[in-house]
Amino acid sequence: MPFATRSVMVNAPVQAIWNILKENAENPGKHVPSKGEEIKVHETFAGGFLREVKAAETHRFERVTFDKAAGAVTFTLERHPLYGGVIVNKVVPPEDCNALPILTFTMDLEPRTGDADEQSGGRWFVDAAKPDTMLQAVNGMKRVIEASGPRYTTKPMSPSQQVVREMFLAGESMHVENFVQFYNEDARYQFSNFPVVVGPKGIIDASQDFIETVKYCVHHIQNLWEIDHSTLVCEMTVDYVRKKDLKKFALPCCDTIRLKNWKVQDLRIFMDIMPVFAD
Amino acid sequence: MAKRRPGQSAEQVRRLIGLFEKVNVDEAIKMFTEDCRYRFGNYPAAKGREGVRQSATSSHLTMIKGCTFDIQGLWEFEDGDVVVCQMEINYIRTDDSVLTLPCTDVFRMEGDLIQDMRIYMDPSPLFK
Repeated sequence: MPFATRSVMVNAPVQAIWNILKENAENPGKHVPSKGEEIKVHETFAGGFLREVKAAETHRFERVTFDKAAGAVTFTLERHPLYGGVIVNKVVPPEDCNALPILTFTMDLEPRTGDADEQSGGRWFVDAAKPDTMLQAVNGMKRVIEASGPRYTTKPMSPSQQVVREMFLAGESMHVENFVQFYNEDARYQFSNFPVVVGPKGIIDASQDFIETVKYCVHHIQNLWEIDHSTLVCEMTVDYVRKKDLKKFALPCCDTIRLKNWKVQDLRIFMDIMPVFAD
Repeated sequence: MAKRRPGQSAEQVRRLIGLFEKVNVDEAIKMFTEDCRYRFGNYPAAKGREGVRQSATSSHLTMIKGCTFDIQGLWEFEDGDVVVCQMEINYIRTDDSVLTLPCTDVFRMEGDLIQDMRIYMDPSPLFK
């Protein structure tokens, strides 16, 4: 079942990001180079339209809807023999005073048949939901947006804040191979009462139960304090959405983070994650 | 309100932790403001000094006969309005076995009193 989500910080006002997301849906090719897709709008209605996308490797109908209050452009797959579900491009405003707007691309599809992922018509969706493809797509959009207008912040984010925020965003996609790139080889990683693990491999091995259980998570940072340029404390609420029933748990969490050479050298997570693993 | 000197809020937190070590809840709750908030793990926040007493005694202290706190980091932010305390708590159970759990507390101060205390930890091994 193709599912992927990826978020990045974008150094532009929310309104400017929204405008480009909207234009990109209404007028593909204007901002992002066309991938040889032939697009035809069949129907327009209040708040959106129905379009047909045709290319060598895909043929699909999408109901495109705009929800400005939520910052979301939603592409709902229609009349597709293999899948139903949505692709969402979303911008959320910064939650704390030092943050930037966050741009999220999500693909969340359910197969209509048991072997959808194996069929040739499913390949485009399976490829599009690969973590690296998703990251490329959202980063491509970020570059377009940031190049299209003047930079947003007058006070640049400190490099250590940026590393920590990007590390959390990478963790949200549940793509642990990408997440561990933020860690040194001898990094110390301590998740509450679980045994301390060392380095990227230790984190990957220790995360398997977590990845099996959690579909995605979102970090709502309340405070990110810098003790010095390499030591930070982050107070937040983390939303965990469980795979089996899509139940959401909003849990308080506090991390202490030590950086070395702009990678994480020591991360200690203080929270009670147990409700997510309980029935 | 008079400006605090650096370290003043951290000293208050150290004093509070000392009182918790001595299980002196009567003195400990006097270090909180009347309208304080106290949140332990995922439990809803308790309000007021009596709320702190109830929460601290129900969540921490009934399963154990004592505890000690090894402070590993104590930091002030925002001119002492915020104190973060990272530690390991050694709980001594009624059968004298010791259970050590990692914990970080975040305090918001009002003058020298604690207006808000948030305890970030997983206490579940205590209840097993």
